[in-house]
Amino acid sequence: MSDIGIQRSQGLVPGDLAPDITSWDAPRAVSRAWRRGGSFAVTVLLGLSLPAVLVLIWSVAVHQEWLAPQILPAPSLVWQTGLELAASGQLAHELAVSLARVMTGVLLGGLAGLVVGVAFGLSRTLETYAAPTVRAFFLVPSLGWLPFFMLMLGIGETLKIVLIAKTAFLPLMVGVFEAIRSMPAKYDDVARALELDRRARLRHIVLPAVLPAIATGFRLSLSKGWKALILVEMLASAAGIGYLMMWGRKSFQLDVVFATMIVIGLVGWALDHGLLKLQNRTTRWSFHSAR
Amino acid sequence: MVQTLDAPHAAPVAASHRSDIDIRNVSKTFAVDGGTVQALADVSLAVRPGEFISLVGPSGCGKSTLLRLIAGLDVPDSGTVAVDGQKVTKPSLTRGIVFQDHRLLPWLSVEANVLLSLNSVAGAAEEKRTRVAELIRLVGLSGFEKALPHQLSGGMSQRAAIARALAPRPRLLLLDEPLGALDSLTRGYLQEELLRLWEHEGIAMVMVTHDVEEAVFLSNRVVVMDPRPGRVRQIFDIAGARPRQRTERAFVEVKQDILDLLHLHRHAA
Repeated sequence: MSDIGIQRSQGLVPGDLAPDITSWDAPRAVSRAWRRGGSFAVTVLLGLSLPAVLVLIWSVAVHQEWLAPQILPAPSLVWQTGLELAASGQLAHELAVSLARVMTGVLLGGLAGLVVGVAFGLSRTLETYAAPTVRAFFLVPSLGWLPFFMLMLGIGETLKIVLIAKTAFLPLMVGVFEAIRSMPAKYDDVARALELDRRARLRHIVLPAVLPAIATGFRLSLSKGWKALILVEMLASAAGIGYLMMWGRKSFQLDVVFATMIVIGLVGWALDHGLLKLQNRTTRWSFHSAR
Repeated sequence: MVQTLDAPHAAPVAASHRSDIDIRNVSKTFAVDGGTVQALADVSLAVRPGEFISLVGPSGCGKSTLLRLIAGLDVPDSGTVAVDGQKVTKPSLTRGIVFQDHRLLPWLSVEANVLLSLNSVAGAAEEKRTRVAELIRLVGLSGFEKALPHQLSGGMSQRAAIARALAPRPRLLLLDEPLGALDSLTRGYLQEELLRLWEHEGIAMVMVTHDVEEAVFLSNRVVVMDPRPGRVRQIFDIAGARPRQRTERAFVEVKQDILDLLHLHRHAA
């Protein structure tokens, strides 16, 4: 890539060898420069400014006693409680339980969604017969399935895993299905002209084409799965971060509730952010060329 | 040792690797929006081994359809297309094709795109890499092996597409308006490149084009086609050694004759 840049700047290449700068280089160069050096710190600071304002308003609200302290605990108290929960190891323990659950559920459900999505994408017959049922089945919210699942599976680990898996299934299934269907048909000609067999087609054409959709779907699955997990942990669990929050509510310790809310938000954001990075890696190429 | 790459398919071929094409009474109809369009009506054409032949004609004359039939991407409703005496029924690596839009896979580098054409060819990985490097050098893309298609200009992409088509050593190269989307400067430059490749490979090339000058510059024969239904109107033999001078009298005259013929049926249509 660097030699493309060098050759261009020298201006010695014949017309057709000079890459089209406007269509690909400019936005990338800008974002690269933005990410480089001190700009990163600026981005982080800008991202933190809104939370800082919120904490400030929160402090003022507590100080002015706009709400009873039993309802709205002081930020300092929440901070203190958070530190204590962390120091005692309880926070880490509950988080570990929750993360293990969400990973297992999202992997199982996501994988199933991936397989079914690919199958529906490749076979119109299968889609005609099964897709409406499958979609309708999964479009009933997890909360709606909960009573049935609870009676069927009890309130043990299986319930949580199944519920998260169910939540994670749809985004991946739909994403992958639609990516396969919207694949430009012109690559069919290429695959045929190059005499690619079914396996080579899947590996070199279908999978790379749907990889961005898989990454996007997985990201969506994880964030939905995370929310579903907290919900089910609040309703039926004896461990996990959602359980900790529920415990705080029942014992009327709103500081615990607030601390766990913040942790849930932060962990959810971190998971999402990590997968966003992964997603960007899968879309370095583009269907649009500098024609 | 390059045996496998030389002859990807155990077809009985003359040592010269030159193919001839025999198109006989070919017709093709497409269903479009409930109605039907006859793309080709009773077209016959013979392409000699090692010949460069161009198909020109207004839109709808079926020239691209004819090319797809030779490639095996479509099959005729009636009539036959035979290459080396064998009926064409499906695509083959022995018949390379270059599309107007380069159709490189956007997620693969130039190198990987060319290598993909050797996926179904027997041979050691090492051998294939050597062949890919050779082709990239041949089309003048050295230094851009790792570039992704969206980082290439139109001309460079088309060079890569040509390398991909030539890598499995086809006995025939089909070009569907390969330079149609390029600016005139790049176009002129790549026409000379095509000529060089044709002389280097010694195989027959069939090119669909809108550009009469391009056709006259490159071809042994120019086939002028009529539209609705698509059929062969007239075939021009182009004399003169290559590279041809575009300002030469004979060149200008035959170009004008073809243009006149094309304008004639534009008025008729």
